[in-house]
Amino acid sequence: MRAAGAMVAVCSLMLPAGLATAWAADLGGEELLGNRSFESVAPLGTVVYAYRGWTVRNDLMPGAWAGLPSTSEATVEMVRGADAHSGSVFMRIGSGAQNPEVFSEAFY
Amino acid sequence: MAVWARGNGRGGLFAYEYGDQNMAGYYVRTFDLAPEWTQYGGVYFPTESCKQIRFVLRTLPGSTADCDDVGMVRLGESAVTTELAGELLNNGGLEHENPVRDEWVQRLGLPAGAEKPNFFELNGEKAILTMVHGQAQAHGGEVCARFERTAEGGWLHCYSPYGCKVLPGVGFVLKAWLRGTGSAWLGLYDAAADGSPAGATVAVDDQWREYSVVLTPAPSAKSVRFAVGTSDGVLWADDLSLTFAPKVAGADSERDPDME
Repeated sequence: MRAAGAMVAVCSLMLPAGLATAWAADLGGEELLGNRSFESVAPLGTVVYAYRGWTVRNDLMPGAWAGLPSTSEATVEMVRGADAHSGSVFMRIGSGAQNPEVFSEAFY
Repeated sequence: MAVWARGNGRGGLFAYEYGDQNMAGYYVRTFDLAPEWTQYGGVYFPTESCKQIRFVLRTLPGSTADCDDVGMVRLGESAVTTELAGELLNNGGLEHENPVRDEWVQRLGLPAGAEKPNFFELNGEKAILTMVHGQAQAHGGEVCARFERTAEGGWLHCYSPYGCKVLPGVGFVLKAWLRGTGSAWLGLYDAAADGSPAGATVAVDDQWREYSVVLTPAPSAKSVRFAVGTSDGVLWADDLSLTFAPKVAGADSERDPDME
């Protein structure tokens, strides 16, 4: 196999960590998502499987693929608390043994 | 795409991509969740057939994530800087479950002239890749990869499953911690074709050392996959990294035409 590059052993090149702080305005772009802070949801404090602006899906498990009733251990919960990153609501996703996902209802 | 999150285990930013006749999903970034609020982000490059995308949050089995303040911004290619894109590989530390199957793909090659390479072989007749657990063996964390050639005439590469978009005029920096008894190869495959990869062969010894190469993909390549492997001896690999090279004119000047 023919090589086409150069090697520098024990390279000290360090790159910045990426999206550490910059966001929409800093990036010069328009924010596309709605309800970004999850403030406009109800009910709170309970497990919910659909709420405005976002959709929960947990059909990646084999049981769902086979058309069997869900045995999901996964939970998605809207939590109200002063320790939210901003505002007073955040989303808690618990996987259990599953691989749940929450996605925007809108397409972009 | 970005999210503020805290928790335990592993989370991910993911995108569903919809074309005229198909849909697909790709990880934008997977990350180890810290207990304090931390912003995680990544740049998603839609494929050419993409018409629309959806923003997706995921957690991997055994994880709990508190999520808040998500965001998604549309950027032009010219706005994507090295700093913004950050690390382009997921699971470069090879720490997570089924790294070969889920986040890396193994390729077992045959010598030049052989009729057909074997793809996606976990264990082949001529080479073996194993994920080795144990801090004493790994460079960082508890897992590393061990490549072993068991007969003459073949080679073994492991490569990232998702293609990374090539930006015009921008190269890539590939880094890996390696040790072994022979040589190693670090390179880029054109994700859309089985053409000749670009890469560099480096000599390794029995000490963990970080190797770095700067590569420019072929002009025709639209996306590339990071690869590491060997064609001789035993190779240990850990803590792999792929980033865009800084947009500096003459980035190719470091090439060494004598390196094979």
